[in-house]
Amino acid sequence: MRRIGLALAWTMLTLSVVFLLAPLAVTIAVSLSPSPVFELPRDELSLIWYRQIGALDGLLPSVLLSLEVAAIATAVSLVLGTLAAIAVVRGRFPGREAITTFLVSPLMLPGLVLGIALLQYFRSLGLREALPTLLLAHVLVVLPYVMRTLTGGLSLFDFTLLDAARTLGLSWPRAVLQVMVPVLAPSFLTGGLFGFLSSVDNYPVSIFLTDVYHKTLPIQLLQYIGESPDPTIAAVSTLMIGLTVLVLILGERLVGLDRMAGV
Amino acid sequence: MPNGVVGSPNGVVGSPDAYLRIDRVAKRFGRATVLDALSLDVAEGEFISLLGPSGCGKTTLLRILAGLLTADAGRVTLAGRELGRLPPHKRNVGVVFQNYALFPHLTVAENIGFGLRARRVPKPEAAARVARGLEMIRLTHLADRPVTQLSGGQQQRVAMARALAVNPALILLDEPLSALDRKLRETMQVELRTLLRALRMTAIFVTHDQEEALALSDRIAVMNAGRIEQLDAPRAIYDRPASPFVLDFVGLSTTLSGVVERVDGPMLEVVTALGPVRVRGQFVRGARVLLAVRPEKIGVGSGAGNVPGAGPRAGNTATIRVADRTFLGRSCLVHGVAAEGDRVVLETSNDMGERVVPGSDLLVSWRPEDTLLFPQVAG
Amino acid sequence: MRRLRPAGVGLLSLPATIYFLLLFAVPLAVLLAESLHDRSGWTLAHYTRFFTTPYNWGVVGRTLRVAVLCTLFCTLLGYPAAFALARTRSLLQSALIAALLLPLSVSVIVKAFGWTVLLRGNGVVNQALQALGLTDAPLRLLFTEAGLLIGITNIFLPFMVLPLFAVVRQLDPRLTEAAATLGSTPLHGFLTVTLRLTLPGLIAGITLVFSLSIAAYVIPTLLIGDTYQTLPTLIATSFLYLQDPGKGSVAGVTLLVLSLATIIASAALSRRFTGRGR
Ligand SMILES: Nc1ncnc2c1ncn2[C@@H]1O[C@H](COP(=O)(O)OP(=O)(O)O)[C@@H](O)[C@H]1O
Ligand SMILES: [Mg+2]
Repeated sequence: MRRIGLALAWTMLTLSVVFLLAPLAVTIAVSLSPSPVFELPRDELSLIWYRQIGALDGLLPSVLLSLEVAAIATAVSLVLGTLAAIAVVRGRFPGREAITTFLVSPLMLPGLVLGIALLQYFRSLGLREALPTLLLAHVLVVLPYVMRTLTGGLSLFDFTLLDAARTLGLSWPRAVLQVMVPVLAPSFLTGGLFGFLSSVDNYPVSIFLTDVYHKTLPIQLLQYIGESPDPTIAAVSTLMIGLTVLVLILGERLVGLDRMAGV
Repeated sequence: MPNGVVGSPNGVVGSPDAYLRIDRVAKRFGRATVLDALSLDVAEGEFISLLGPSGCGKTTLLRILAGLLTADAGRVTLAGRELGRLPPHKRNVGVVFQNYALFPHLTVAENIGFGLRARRVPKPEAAARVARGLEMIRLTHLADRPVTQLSGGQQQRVAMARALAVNPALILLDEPLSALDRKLRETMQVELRTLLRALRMTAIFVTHDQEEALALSDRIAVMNAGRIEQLDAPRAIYDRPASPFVLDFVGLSTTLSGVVERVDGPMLEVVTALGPVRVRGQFVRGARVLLAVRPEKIGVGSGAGNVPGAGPRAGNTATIRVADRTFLGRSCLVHGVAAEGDRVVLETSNDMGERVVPGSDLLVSWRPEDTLLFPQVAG
Repeated sequence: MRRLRPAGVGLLSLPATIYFLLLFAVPLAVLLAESLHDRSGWTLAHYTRFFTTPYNWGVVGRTLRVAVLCTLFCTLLGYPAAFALARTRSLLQSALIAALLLPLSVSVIVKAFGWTVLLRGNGVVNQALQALGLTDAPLRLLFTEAGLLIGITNIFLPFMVLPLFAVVRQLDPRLTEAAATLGSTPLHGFLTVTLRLTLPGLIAGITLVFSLSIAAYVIPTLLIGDTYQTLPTLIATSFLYLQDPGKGSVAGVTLLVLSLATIIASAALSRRFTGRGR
């Protein structure tokens, strides 16, 4: 019985890992094949599709727009989220739990619903420009990640460290900068990183706020896939996988995988 | 030493130029009075223990001295300078926190050098002082380890070295040894005392462990509910406790309540559950009093109470029923019950302890001079 | 923090809270109002129109069906997998966690694109099936419910494994041994000890996967298309193509209610089974 259980567990784990990596592996493989019809490379590898990336219409602007929106939204979220996390962890006021739930709730609620709600709301306010509405909306996407990891980090933070720094000769603001910020750096990084990634990847909120001139990367990509699916998309996707790997390696170096996995 | 008073540890109470003067400091949290107009003078180089049950305000007092908390009333002066509302980083008061509060993102050496960097001490000098600090706590070989990898005792030493590295005018230690196991705690007590004495550091050491306070201090301030009940040398605290609270908090004793029956010059005769007890003191006849005797002052047999040259009737004797014995290692405690249920505890040699049989009656005696006397508090 | 009283520290939550009130709570309220409103004023007309159309019931049914099946598959794969993951040694464990984190962090669109390649008629899956002799002709997978389920399970599987792993690895293996010494059979021991102790992780995983999968949009769009509509695709078409905000708002409110109900039910369940909230 135990044996069977263990064998089952291992089988499922192996299956899961293969299953999870399959779409990534096939994307990478297809991008390296010279065939134009999504085939695995047979005898030779080719970078032809990577050279085609430059010919994709509107890719670069969409990448830049996505990065700009994600960077600004993450910066704003780090500030607002840190303040709010300090408030709920350190404060002694009724409704702390409610505020925490409120500020992380976009994680659990359908993004599409938020998207149409914002669409109607901005329209009723007469706000129709893509960039400001995207920025305003993406803070709602990023801040929950920051809030979640920082409340976790802060509730483990030992505030006597600040007292210690002050008795050793640092003023209060310097103590915060030299002790609290570095000790909480892993939480900032994890929250910021996942928030940033989810902003770059966001489709269901952005789709309602973009216009013909302002397409974020996911919207542009989905459009390519719908219009002309060819292995160039696989090449772009492979680059995105590579970038994600880099970000994860960086995170592992700075924070450790365990903390990033939230376990 | 420029303006400190180096005197006998006992001699500076109320002296106008004490090194550290705590003058009627008060602090309330909401309705609770945590410090109640507390005053304390400390001489330079003195090692003072604040001893008291948990919740009596020891940490609160330290935080006020460090500037981490503002007092509601009162003044604190250190080396002739009024501390007032000076922020912690301008006080030059070192603190060793109860949980050590080591910076987890820094190495051992970086922790020790933290205060030097904060004060912008030039790098070469800072490095030399960190090296000396490491040597002092014998952790040079662990200089580049993250502090999170150290054992409890090592962390404690790093916390000490970090606080001392900036050469503070005063060091405050908040139950620095309470997290260590007993054996290590005893080693660290000696180490800490030697270190602070060698540096001639003025120290306030908070503890709720009376043995630790007795072992380490020049003087002990016994605190209770935000006030100092008694400030004295360890021996005096133990031998002449100023109140039943101090008596109860420091060491074991047998306590008896009674009424003064006869006044005979400097001697009183008090009627207790154990019979008449003779004690030196000044009370009027009929006064209700509390008597106490330390266990090691009570002996087995009638001889222990004899005062040389005062005749056989001068001592106090009593018969108790032996309830239990506790073997302590060096000696043995015998617990007895008197006729009306009062408990008596005496310390005997191990051999004597062996011979005492629980359930049997035992004749014990002690000298009138060794009997402590307090007024009986109403209720 | 030092200068501020505890009540004052609470003020630091104001900027984020006000932001969320203005840009999250109010817009959702506007959406709700919009669904109850048309040119003539307040009305339930959008709701009656929506819920008297059998097609829309079909959409709601499909949304729930896909979410339930996806949650089921994720549980069947993820629950045992979390146990195996918790038993591995550190190096292999790190590698496996990385193998979970990478797909989690890669863009949904990239993964969905990968599945369109894998599932097409002459795609890798069909080639493998034929090579193994399991089928003669290529199976139609893309634009079928089976394809959709494969893709959506793939996307949300890590959300099941990670919370479970967090709980399982804190399990004390001695507990099942203790149960065994008390004479319980392995199955009984599993049900009374292990399952019971991992229930918080299981509830968390199920809640997460279910509420994410009822809201999935990109995957259905790419893997099955408009012929098989779920609530999210219906919402998107109502707004983007049909210009019918009344219908879209009702669908949006319906989806919102479903996911709130999931969260509330999950909170109630975990209180019931763990004796405490959250
Ligand atoms: N920040 C605070 N707010 C309210 N009450 C406090 C605070 N700090 C301490 N107290 C209360 O003051 C009393 C004394 O605390 P403390 O000085 O820490 O005692 P000790 O260190 O002697 O154990 C305790 O009853 C404690 O609950
Ligand atoms: Mg304390």
